[in-house]
Amino acid sequence: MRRLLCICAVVACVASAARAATPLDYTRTTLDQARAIVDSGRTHNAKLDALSALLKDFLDTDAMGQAALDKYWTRFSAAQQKEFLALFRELFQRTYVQKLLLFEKPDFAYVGEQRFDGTARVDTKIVTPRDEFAVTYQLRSQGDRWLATDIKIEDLSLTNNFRRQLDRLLSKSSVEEVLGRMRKKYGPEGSTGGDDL
Amino acid sequence: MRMLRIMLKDLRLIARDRSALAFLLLVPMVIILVVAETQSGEGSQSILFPVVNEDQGPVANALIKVFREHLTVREVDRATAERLVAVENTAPALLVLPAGMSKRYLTEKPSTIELLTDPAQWTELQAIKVIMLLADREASSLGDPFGQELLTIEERSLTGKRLKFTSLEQNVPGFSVMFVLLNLIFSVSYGLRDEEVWGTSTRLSTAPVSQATILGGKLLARLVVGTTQLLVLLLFGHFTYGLALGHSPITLFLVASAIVFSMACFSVIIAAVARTREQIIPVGLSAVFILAALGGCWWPFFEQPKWMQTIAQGVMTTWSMFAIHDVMLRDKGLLEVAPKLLFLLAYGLVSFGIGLRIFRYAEN
Repeated sequence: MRRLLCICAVVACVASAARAATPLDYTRTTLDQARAIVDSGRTHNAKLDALSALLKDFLDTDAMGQAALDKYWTRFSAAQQKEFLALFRELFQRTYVQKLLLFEKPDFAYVGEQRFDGTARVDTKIVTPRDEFAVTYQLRSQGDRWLATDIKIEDLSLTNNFRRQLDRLLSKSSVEEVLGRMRKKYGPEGSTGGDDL
Repeated sequence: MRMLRIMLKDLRLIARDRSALAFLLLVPMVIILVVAETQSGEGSQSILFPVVNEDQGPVANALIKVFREHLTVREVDRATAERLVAVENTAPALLVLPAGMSKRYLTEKPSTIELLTDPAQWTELQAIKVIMLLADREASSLGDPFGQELLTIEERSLTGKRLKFTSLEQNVPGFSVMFVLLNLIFSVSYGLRDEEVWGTSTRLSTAPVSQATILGGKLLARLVVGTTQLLVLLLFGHFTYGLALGHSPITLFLVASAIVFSMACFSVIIAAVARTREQIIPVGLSAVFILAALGGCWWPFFEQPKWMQTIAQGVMTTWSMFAIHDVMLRDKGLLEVAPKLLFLLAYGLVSFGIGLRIFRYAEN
């Protein structure tokens, strides 16, 4: 009984801490964990997997995917939309994680946060010996958590970048062709592709 | 039975010339060793690849990390890198990673990377290009630096107008030098040893002229023949296969003369070492094969393992090939090849001095 009470107390504390976490704290926690993974002595692929697992709960890739498809969203059937979002999650995570892994020992600096109604913006920097890279996270609250709906690197929105690429592709190819291409690279048996769709 | 006796007599005669016997095995063994060492070279890891990292950012670091797995990468300033490629010719190419490249890459803006080359080292250059392609693939797991053509490569030669050369540009001068060396070693050695057979060596040794004058005169004739042979072979390559001969015929002539001078003088040493006519073939052949292999006549010099390259710095075929490549592939002028010409001349004079000292006609 005492043991159960202890567990309940710990859970309550954690939940309360999570509720109390500001967007900046939440981002900091996630990025600190990311940094620990990048700094670890794991293999590149192990780092990639660990980072993907960590960021799965931080990145709202469904919102990003829908935003990236923009006007083409309605062209996709429900099944195609579902498949697209699953593939886009893989694509976005890989792109972001790979960019993060370019920094061998990333040093994150936290500039500040701005809160709006249910959304927030957290400004961070990746500091290298020679340079600084501004990374801004657009977040939305979901229960006790904050989810990133877009990431801007030096003011370049990753979602907008994918929107441009998808727009270019979908203006020339059919939905099925684009899905086929994504499947080939980011599907269960896909190759490890680059950023380009 | 008679046949057996004749055979035994001949075997005794053959066994008498122990040096010739030893060379029978020594020559092929040494050649096999040299070829095997070259073929099992150190691969691309021995290729020096200077990188001018003006970016110092994560993308540059990721690229350099991939290159380091395959090449000997040295991060240096631009002047040093250009010296290694264009002056010392110890590196086939240098890469300039421009300032701000990482920032541009991460913001999806294209950057141009400069690849400044010495096309005369084309096999190493090809290896670098293959590794750059490999880096393209490998780096895809580090952020795909070449994806979306965000990084484009601008290739420029630092040592001439052409960006590419073919293996003919290696083989024609290489084999020409080897055959001239072959001609000189055998003609000089046989020429001198034939004097013994004809009995003229006794007359020459009592003639009122120094041995240096006699040998010098004989070598001058070989110099004329050898230079003509080398130039004709190179012209043959030029007219048949479009081989570049450089912009200065005088420089080419002087280079050919210096090469033949050093080889002709060296031939006296071979003539001195081969004390009989029978020894000329094994001694001469081993000298020609070893010098041709070490000097880069058969394959590009830098394909050899480092230890062989070090030894090769001391042979005239290496400097002959360097000088020929400078004129034909790098379009260098007389002043630029002058140090190599002086080396060849000095090599010839020293060889002549040594040859003069050790060469003796056999007493009849």
